[in-house]
Amino acid sequence: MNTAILERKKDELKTCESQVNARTFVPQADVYESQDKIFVIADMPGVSEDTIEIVLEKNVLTIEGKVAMPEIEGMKLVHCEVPPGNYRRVFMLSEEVDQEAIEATMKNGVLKLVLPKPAKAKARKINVVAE
Amino acid sequence: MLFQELVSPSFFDSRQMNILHNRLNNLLTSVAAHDSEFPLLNTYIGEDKALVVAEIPGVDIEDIDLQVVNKTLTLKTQRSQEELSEDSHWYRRERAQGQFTRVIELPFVIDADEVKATCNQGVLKIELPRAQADLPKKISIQTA
Repeated sequence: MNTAILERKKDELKTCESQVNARTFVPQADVYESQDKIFVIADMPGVSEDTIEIVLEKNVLTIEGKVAMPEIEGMKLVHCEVPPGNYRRVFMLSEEVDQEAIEATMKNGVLKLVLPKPAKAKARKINVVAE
Repeated sequence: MLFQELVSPSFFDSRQMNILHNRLNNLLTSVAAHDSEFPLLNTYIGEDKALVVAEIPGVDIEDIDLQVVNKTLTLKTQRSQEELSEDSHWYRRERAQGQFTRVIELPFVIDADEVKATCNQGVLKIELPRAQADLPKKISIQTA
């Protein structure tokens, strides 16, 4: 086999391997709303706070997290419920959210997002004054 | 394992074959349990130890109960429910809540004193060494 073909085979192998790790999972999430905030809680085990990406564009909220697969040598995977892959989920929000004021915390592999509603979306109580 | 005998090693580049072989095996052994089971587990087996990796997002370390008896590992966890105030309401509830138990049987006896468990970013790793008494022994043959 000449070197050119060998090189091409190597490249094919690399893409083959990266495809194995390129699966994407939808993290399970809870969403609830209080009077002035929306809360999103998502299970993303194995994701560190540095590799998580949260983007809000108008009313579309995208959460992405990358998982570093552990390198285990000399052992064989005999039972697999969690194939390698990353997390991604897109939410449509009904109201626009104050993008600057979003708070995100990560604890024990759980992402918690606090999305404050802008003042105009908050319910206002109007007092009626008797004349 | 299953496909080892079916294909002669010279047929493909052996590395490529290994990748395909592993993918097929993972495909066949992977359990589509994403909604029903918690926590999800991966089990790795080596010659003298096993490694169990469990995804337990949102579980406090105090709420993990690990027990080892002979070949069996029992993992008990619980995840508490978020309490909502009166003016809040749910839109979506997908995350499993309550008490969970998973039992894993390994192909060898575990040395219960040497089991190590670490938890990081919601991923629990349990290292289970094989008991000394269970390791295969080489028997030397003496000439009469």
